[in-house]
Amino acid sequence: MPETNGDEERQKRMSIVCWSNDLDRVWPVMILATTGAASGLDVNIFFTFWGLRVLQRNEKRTTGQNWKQRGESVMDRGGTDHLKLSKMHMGGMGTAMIKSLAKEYKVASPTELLGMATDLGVRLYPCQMTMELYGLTKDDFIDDLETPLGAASFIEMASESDINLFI
Amino acid sequence: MDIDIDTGARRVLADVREAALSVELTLHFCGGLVTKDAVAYPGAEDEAAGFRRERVGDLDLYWRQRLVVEGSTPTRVSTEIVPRRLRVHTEDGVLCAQASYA
Repeated sequence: MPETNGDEERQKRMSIVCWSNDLDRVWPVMILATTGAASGLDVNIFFTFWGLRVLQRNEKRTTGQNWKQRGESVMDRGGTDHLKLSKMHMGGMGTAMIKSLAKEYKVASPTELLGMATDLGVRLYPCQMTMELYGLTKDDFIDDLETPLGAASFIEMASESDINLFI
Repeated sequence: MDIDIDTGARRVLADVREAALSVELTLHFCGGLVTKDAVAYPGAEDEAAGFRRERVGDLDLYWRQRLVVEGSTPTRVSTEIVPRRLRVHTEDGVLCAQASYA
């Protein structure tokens, strides 16, 4: 959606912080990002702290360089296929029920939305600090990610955005 | 894109003596959700209308991806989003399609 500003034309920009890997937060992040991109917005998502696990490859079981990091990865499995509800997970029953309902109503899953997001040119930024904290490397992540960012770079990006969301 | 046309779908096409089928995929970015629809029918479609042709064995498959975004018109045909898998099958003898973007 180009915006005329004097002689310059610039696309409207949306930046989203994805801080969580709860299914009920990641789903809206992906829906907003893809809807924004499909509407013509320039969209960036910054994945930080728990949210960084969203970018992990689904088939990757454990990550990390030491026992603390590996232990954390076992307790909190990454990847969009393994997201859980923040409420009413009920040992997996609640999450399975929501996923089954979504399938029945032909709602695109977070994994599908992530694929659509990259197709639509949404830029996915992993947080550099969290990568170091978790001992995650480039090989642990899905393809097509941008160069990891720190807080200062994200703030610069956010200051140039028309819409900023923290989810 | 990984395409699978099952034997039931092939039989339907053979019954109507068609060597081509078309699939229209729609993503709806509406009402706070992203939902997907797929419609399959016998016969070729016009590539000028945004349909892409794929050869699948002895059949020609024409498909296009439409995006419906709430509040914006007209419907957009997208060349950006490509499903990872497309399955054409039958339900009660009727052609059906299912796309997966994962």
